Amino acid sequence: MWKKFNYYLKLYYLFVIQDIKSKMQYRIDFYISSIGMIVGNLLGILSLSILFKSIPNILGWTYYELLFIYGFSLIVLSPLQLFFDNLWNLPTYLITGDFIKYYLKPINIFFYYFAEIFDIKGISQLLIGIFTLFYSWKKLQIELSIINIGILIVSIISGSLVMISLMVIASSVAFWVLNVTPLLNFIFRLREYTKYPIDIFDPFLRFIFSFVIPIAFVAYYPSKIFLRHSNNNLLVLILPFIGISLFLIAYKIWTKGAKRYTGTGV
Amino acid sequence: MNFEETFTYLSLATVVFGLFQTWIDWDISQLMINGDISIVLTKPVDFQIYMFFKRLPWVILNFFTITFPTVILLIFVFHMPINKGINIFFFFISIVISYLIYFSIDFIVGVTAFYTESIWGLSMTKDAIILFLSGGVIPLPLFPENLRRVLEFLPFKTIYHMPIEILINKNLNIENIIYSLAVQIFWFLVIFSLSRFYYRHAETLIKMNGG
Repeated sequence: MWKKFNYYLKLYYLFVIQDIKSKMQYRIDFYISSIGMIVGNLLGILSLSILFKSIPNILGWTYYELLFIYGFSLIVLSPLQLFFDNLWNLPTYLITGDFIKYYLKPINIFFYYFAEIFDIKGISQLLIGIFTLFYSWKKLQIELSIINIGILIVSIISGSLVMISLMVIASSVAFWVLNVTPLLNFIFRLREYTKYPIDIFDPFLRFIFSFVIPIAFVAYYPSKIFLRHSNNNLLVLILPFIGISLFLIAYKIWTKGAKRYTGTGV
Repeated sequence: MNFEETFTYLSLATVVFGLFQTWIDWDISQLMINGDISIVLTKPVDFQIYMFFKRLPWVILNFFTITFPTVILLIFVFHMPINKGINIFFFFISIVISYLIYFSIDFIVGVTAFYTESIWGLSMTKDAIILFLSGGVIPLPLFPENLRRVLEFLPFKTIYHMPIEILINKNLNIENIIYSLAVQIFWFLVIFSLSRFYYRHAETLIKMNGG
């Protein structure tokens, strides 16, 4: 078990090196996209501060609290960008038949497919997220204790698992219907809603975001542990459970789909 | 701006964003990377016109599946404060011009692929900047005064803000509308000629593999 884990870790390292090399092929684009990632996220924060120039608080949420949720969701969305960016290519690979190459190596197909691309651009998003989170953390005077840091790490990991699972499930629909880019775009655009507290939406959307497409668990509920201290004990326990079980479901669906694919005959 | 106006403004902005999403820049970059562009360039039709008509059906499809139903919903189901009558007609003209502006910008970004091949970063940056500076994320009237004065002189507001303004601003008279259409046409001519110049220049430098 341990040996296998080490083997996969080493493989992942080699994949990442290889992918960065191939990204550097388009060097100018690589630099522009790193800057673009920063610009995009800074504009997001700027729009929050413009919003709060005209509206001092939204349903009792202050500027720094919203900034906290914003930073939190940037951190939580980074692993999706960093490790799972290849899911965007799945429809293309299935249609052209290139997907067949993933069956031909004696390693886990799910691992092989997603390890192939490591999107280094996500790092700038992660850094801005960390900066924003700790800036608002300081402003809100939240205690910097070991327990809080522990809760933070657990909730970040489970939040990212939720978002990753949703996207993986959406992409694996491609095994049945081939072109799912619109669906992926739809789910991906929902990530905008993770940056705001769920209770500013109407009850119907709140229900949808909590139980049907559980994006409220990406950033809102975890941030609530820090910002509103009510009933946090239950949430801390629920979060990892939701994250891990969703990820297992996503993994099952994806591999089931992969077993179903028959190639295109090229 | 009250809640209803802001809501209408932002939902229209989202709809227009969906309408304009045709990935022209992305398409040009793909053509460049796999070399298929050499085939396109041998055709006796201007490359820009080719790209325009290649993606026009998408826009028309988007219009009938996204824009049209949403405007109908906003008017008849949500009873939002939308100007009816002649304004709808001007909105249509305005949206056509703003698509032409958006297309020219998209094309400029796409042609950059002649130099850099992949344009993922530039394309994404372009979307973020246009969406923000043209009022797609936050309505322009909510911007701070200084920033708004700067934006007066930039072309961005012609893309989202102006068509939406025609639909929701109650205080606009015909002269105001004609004026904003004129501004749009002015910026279209500027950006379009820029895209022509840029393309003429880039065309001479094109290098490709395979095909």
